[in-house]
Amino acid sequence: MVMTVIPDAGQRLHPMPIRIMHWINAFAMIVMITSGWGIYDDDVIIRGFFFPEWARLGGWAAPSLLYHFAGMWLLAVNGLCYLIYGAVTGRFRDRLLPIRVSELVETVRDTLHLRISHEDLTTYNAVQKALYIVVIVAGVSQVVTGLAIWKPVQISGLVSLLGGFQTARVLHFTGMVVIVGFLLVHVLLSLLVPRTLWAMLTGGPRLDRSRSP
Amino acid sequence: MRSPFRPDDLPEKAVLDDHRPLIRGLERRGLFRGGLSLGALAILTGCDVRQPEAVQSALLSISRFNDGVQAWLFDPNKLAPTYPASRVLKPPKFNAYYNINQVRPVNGATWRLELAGLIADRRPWTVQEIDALPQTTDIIKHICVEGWSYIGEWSGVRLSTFLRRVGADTRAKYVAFHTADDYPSSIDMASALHPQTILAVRYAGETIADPFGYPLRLRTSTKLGYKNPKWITAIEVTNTYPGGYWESRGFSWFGGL
Repeated sequence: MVMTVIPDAGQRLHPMPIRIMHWINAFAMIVMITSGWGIYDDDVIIRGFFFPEWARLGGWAAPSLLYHFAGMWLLAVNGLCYLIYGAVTGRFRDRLLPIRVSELVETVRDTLHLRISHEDLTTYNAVQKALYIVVIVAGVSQVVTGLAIWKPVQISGLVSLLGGFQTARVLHFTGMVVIVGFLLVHVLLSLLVPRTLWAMLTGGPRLDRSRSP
Repeated sequence: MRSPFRPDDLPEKAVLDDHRPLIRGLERRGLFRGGLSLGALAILTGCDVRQPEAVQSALLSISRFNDGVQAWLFDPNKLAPTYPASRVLKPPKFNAYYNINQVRPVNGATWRLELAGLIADRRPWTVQEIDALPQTTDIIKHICVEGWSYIGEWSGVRLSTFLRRVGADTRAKYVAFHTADDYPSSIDMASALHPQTILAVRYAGETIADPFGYPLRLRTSTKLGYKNPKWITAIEVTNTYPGGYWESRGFSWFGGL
C-alpha cells in the first residue's frame, strides 16, 4: 500500500513564517518603544511627562539612540517581509476583510457586556480585524514618520507633507501611543484566552484547504 | 539590643566635635567622587554600565554601518528648506555640554584661525580677513539630536569657498575643527562642500554674540546641531578619522539630516 499525503491537511492558523515574523516583530517593537522613550525624555513633547528610567532602554540619549537605530533595521526588514507575505498569500484579505460596520458595533456592544466569544480562533471578529488593521497601518506610519525625522533634509518633501519637522515628531510619538495601546489590549486578551498565545507558538489548528494561511 | 561587639567604655562624644567638619567633608567628597566616576564612566563610553560589552560593540558597529548608509543617502545638491526672515528666532538657542554662564568669550583682536593638514596655504587668518571673504546668508532650521528645533539666520563664507581659497585637498575624507571650548568636531568632505555649509560670523545681520560662537562657528543645514562647533580656532583637512566630543560618547558621527 502506498502512503499518500492526507489531502485535507491544510495550513495551520499561523504558519511558521508568520510565527517567526510575529516574535521578531514583538522583540523589535519592544526595543523601538523603550529606546524611543529614552530619546523622548531628552526633550519631552508633553511638558512634565517623562518615561521612568526603569522602563527605558539605554541610560541616556546616546545609548537609546544606538538601540533605536539598530532596532529600526530589524523592525523595517521584518515588517516588509510580513507585508509582502500577507499580500502574496492572501492572508490579509482572508483574515482582515471584510469589516462590516454593523458587525463592528455589535462586537463592541457584546464586549462591553463582557460577552467575549473566542470559540473559533481561526476567524477574527470585526473589532479584532479593525485593531489589526490599525496597528499594521500604525507600524507602517512609524517607519514613514521615523524616516522623516531622521532625514528631514534629504526627504524634505515628505516632511512638509507631514506638516513640518515638529509635527512629524509628534506624529511619530502618537504612532507609539497607538501601538502601545494596541499592545496592552493584545497582551491582555492573549493572556485571558491562552489558546491564542499557544497558537502563536505552535501554529494552532489546521485550516480547511480552501483558506489562505 | 546592644551589640556584643560594642565596647563597654565609649570615648567621650565630645572628642569628635573638633573634627566634625573634617569628617563630614571627607564623607561628602567620597560620595561626590563616587558619583562623578560613575557618571564619567557612563558619559565617556556613551554606554550604560549595566550593558554587556558585546551588546555595546555590536551597537557601535551598527552605528558605523549607519554612518555609511547616511553618507550614501546624502545628496550633495539637495538644499535644506529655507524660511522667511520673519520666522528667525532672536537670540538663537544656546546649547553646549555646559551652561551659558560658563561660556568663556574669545578675544576677537588676538584670535587667529589656524589651518592644518592637507591644506596648501596654512597661513593663520584674522577676523578682518575672514570678514573680507564673499558672504552668503542661510535662513535654515537648526535641529538638535534631542528633538527641538528653531529657525536661524546665519551669514559667513561658504566652507567650500574657504577650503578652495586656501588650497585644501577636497578629495580628503574629513574636515576637522578645534574650538576654544575643547569641543573637537569633524564632518565628511561631501557635507563640508555643501552650499549650505558656512563658517558663520553673523546671526540675523549682527556679529555673532559670545555664547553662540564669536568670532567663528560652523553652521550646516545638513547636520544635527552637535555637528556645528562654535568658537573655532583651527581647521584641519585629513584622511584620519578625527571623531568628536559627543561622537566619542556614543552619538552617531555622521549626524546627517
